Amino acid sequence: MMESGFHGCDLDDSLKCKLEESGTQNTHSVMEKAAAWFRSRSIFVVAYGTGCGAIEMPPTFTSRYDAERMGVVGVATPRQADLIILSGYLAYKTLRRVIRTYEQMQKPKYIITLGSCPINGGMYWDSYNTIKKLDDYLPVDVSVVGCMPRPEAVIDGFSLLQKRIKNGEKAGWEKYDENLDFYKKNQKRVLGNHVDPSYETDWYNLENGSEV
Amino acid sequence: MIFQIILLIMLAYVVGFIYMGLYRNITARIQGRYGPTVYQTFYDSIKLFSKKNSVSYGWMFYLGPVIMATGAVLTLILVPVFSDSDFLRSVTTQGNLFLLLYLMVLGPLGNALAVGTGGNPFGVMGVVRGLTRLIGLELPFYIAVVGLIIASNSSDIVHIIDLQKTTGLNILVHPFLFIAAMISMVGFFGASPFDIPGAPQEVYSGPRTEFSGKFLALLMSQGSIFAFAKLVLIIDLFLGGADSLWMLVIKTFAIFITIIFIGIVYGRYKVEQAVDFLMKIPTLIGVIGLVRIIWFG
Amino acid sequence: MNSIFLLLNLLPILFLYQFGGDLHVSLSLTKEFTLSLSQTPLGTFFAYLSLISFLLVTIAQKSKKTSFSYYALQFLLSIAMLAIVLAGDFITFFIGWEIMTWSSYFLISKSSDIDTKSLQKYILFSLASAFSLIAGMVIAYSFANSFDFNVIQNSFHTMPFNIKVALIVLFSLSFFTKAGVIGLHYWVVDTYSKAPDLFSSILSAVMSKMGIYGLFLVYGHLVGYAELKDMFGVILNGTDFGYVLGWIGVITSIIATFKAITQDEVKRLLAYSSIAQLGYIIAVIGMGTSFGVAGAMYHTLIHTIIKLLLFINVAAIVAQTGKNKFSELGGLIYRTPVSFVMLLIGIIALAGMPPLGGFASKFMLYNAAIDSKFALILVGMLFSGAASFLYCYKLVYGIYLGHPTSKDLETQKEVPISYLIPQVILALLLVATGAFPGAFIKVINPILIEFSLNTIPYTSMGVMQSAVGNFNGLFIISAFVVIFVFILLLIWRIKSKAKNNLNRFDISYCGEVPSKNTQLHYGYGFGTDLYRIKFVNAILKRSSSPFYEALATQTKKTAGLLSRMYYGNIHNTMIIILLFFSALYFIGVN
Repeated sequence: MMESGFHGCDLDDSLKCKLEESGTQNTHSVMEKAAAWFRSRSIFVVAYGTGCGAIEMPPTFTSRYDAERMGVVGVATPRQADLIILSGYLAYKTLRRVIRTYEQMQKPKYIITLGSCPINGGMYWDSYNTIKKLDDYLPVDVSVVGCMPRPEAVIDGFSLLQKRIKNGEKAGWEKYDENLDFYKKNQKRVLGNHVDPSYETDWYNLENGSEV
Repeated sequence: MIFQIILLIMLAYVVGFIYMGLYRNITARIQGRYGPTVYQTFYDSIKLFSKKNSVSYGWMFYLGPVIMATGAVLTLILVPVFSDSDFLRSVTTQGNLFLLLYLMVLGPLGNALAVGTGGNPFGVMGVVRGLTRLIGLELPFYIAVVGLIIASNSSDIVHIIDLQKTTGLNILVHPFLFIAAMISMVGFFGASPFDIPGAPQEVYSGPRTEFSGKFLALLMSQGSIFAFAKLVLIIDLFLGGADSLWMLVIKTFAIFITIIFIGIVYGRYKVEQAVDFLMKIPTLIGVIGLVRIIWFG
Repeated sequence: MNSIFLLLNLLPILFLYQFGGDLHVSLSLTKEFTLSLSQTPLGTFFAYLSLISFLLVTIAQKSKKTSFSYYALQFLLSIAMLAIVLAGDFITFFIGWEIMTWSSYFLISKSSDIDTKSLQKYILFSLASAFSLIAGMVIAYSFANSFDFNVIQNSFHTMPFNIKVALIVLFSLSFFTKAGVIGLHYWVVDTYSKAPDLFSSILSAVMSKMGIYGLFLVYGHLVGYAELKDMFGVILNGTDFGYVLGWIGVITSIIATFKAITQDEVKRLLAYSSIAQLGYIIAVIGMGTSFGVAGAMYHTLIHTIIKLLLFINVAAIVAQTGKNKFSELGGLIYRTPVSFVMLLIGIIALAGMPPLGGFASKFMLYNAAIDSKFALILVGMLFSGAASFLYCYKLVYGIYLGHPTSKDLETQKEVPISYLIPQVILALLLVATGAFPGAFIKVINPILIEFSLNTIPYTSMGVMQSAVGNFNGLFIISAFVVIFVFILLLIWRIKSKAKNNLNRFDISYCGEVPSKNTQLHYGYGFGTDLYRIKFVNAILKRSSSPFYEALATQTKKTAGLLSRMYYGNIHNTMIIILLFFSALYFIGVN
């Protein structure tokens, strides 16, 4: 089990790294604390089966390990989801869809990755069409390591995420908002200039003063 | 009266959410899982209300869930909850059983407009499946309701409840109608085998596909209020209503757990299979009960 | 020109308002033939219904280029209908009926997309209806020695039983054809869908109601409901006659509802929906109870309002976009929002949903069935109502929701105001009938007295009273509004920031991004599920057209045989003519 630390800085030297270390408290009022507690108790998951880790998700959610007892339950659409599980290596093609899905999710939203590949490329470290480190493209909240992680480990990942939500720690989506330039630049580097449909990137590009 | 209505809505909200939680919990236990707590749906709802944003495709999309919730609340206040008290009696006498039959569909149709505006073809597919299923689903329920109205010669629910004190409970007097109505009820609760409209493997979540955040939360809340209203309607019609809160809970729970037990053991019918089935066996059972009332009653 | 005819259309209404009430005029042509107008409460109701409909449609015609002859024919049609509903004898009735047939025939032929076959269908069925009517008239005359309605009414009970049955069947067939009962509906759909767009509203809303008026006239006035009961006996709590008619109506309604769902053309859907709604009216018209008559009357009113509203709405959209198919329309909601709201009100009422007038009429219909204990007929009506939700949704989705299916739909503007004025008036009427369902009982009660039936208790405007429960329309609609506003405010206050007006392509689409070429409108796929349901498939794959096609072929062959006489060998023709006359001679001698 490894807590993702958002060490996105070393990849792109030209970008001034603004990423903060995790652990910052940002809950203030009682209402927000209560909301954080409820958020931690109820997590809707859209399980994006990339790579081989998809096989670990059915046992996690069904009778043997039963993630539903922690309030973690699968949903079908990104609109309803709080959490996206990315279960393995991501090819560039997959990344495009994952970014799309992630941006369709409603805030607050979280990412859990399974296995080594999204952390450092794993066995695909020298592949020509997979990304090595997902954290450069999307803000990963929890990385569950192992090749592949057992359902127990996945559930441990859930409980870690729940703990962090409950404590009101700064989550990935806030970092994504704050460092959008960084993430978009990295995304564009591998996916080309038009990563998303124009209506989705409009707001991004216009804020930065350039035309699509 | 306003106070009573708010009290009733809160009661329905709480009881409905606990029942929905029980639904998930009992389902889990039957599947050999530990399952979520009974408050889980409540947590879900609060969480969705506290989402930081929720998308909308324009004003019709915004109003759809509101219409649906209005339909549910209106249904709730028009169903007599307690049989022997004048709790909200002045409101429930303003409507009748036919009105309720139509009010029950008003909400889903209002929401269908929002789904159409959302522009997701999967959502519309879900709506069309739901409406097609409704053709079959309503048939046994209509037969049961018509049978009761003719048997008690009134479409006033209070009158139907009162009549059961002298003639005996309708579940015993008209068992065929009860069976027909219960099979429909399984579908109204979205339980298997009639849960095709929102089949996640085929059409995302069907009508709910594009709803997020507070809209989804509103849909969930109205769902539990509506579930409570439907349960109360069934016990009013067939179990002689409830004269106290405890009887209310016991009777509604008995109906509810029956629906869970039926729903949990079945797979999912395709929409044409569902309608075919509903047009055959439950309809036949209902017609037997109806003919019994008209010709031999 | 429009304003001239607007005033001209206003004249009969003012005339009726000023001099109406107890209008009795007669004009003796010969000793036996008298043309007479005699106003009854029933006739008054239908007169106002049709005249106001014509007025509203004329308003809508303002922005559509319409020729003088069109207006004149339409005015003639309205006068013909006035003659029908005010007629005091069969001669006047029949003259009005024929003028109605011919003027509407010319009006339909003015449409750009009409074909000869549809026109022939319309005129043939109209003629069949008229022949059936005239046969009934003549038989009635031969027994009563008068064409006057009152005389026929008084002498009806003296006629032999089989003559009574023949009269009822002949008149019923005639008026069923006009109303489009299943089997006799062959002309309805083609005519409604191919007629000029605004004239379709007259056809569906008013002209079909002339059939209903005829049925009321025969069952309630000429024959009398008491006589019907005596003639045919009693089943359950109603009459045998009403039971048969009930099943005819319910089957009409169910079949037409399923057919409506699978149509791709907007006006064809509305045409089938008309047939289905008239099926409801026919289902209760023969029951012979107060609620039966009241239900039929109420539904006549509501259906007229709804169909005028819907057809005018669709006509406006067709005029604006030039498209009339669900697979070609879509996504107009934010381009034409007022039209959308109007159509929405129309379909809420069409589906019979509570806050609007549609529920009040449905409630009356159901009460009629309960009153007679016709349980299975009631179930059939409810079932058809449940199925009608599908076509109601298809109507609103196919035109206004979903995605635009072509580029020009994305830049549409709101329809001209002249189309919207009548729609707003009609929508307000629907809201008013929903809030004050009891008000119409005051109109119905004189008609019930005319038919010598018990009146329906009237308590207040807002309350609909019935034998088996009542409902308070005013309470329901105000409770609905209050709860709606309350929930809206609640959801508005919740701080979850709603990202409004998302791009229509920004949908959950499995991570994919739909493009402008992706087929996202579901207008065409609607109702295909139905074909896989055995029972519904059995209905959908059957059609009355093979029967009528075969009839047409056989008639053509017979006619071909006859025409051979003229075009074949001249000797044969001469021999046949000789034989014919000698046969006539011998018959004459004997």
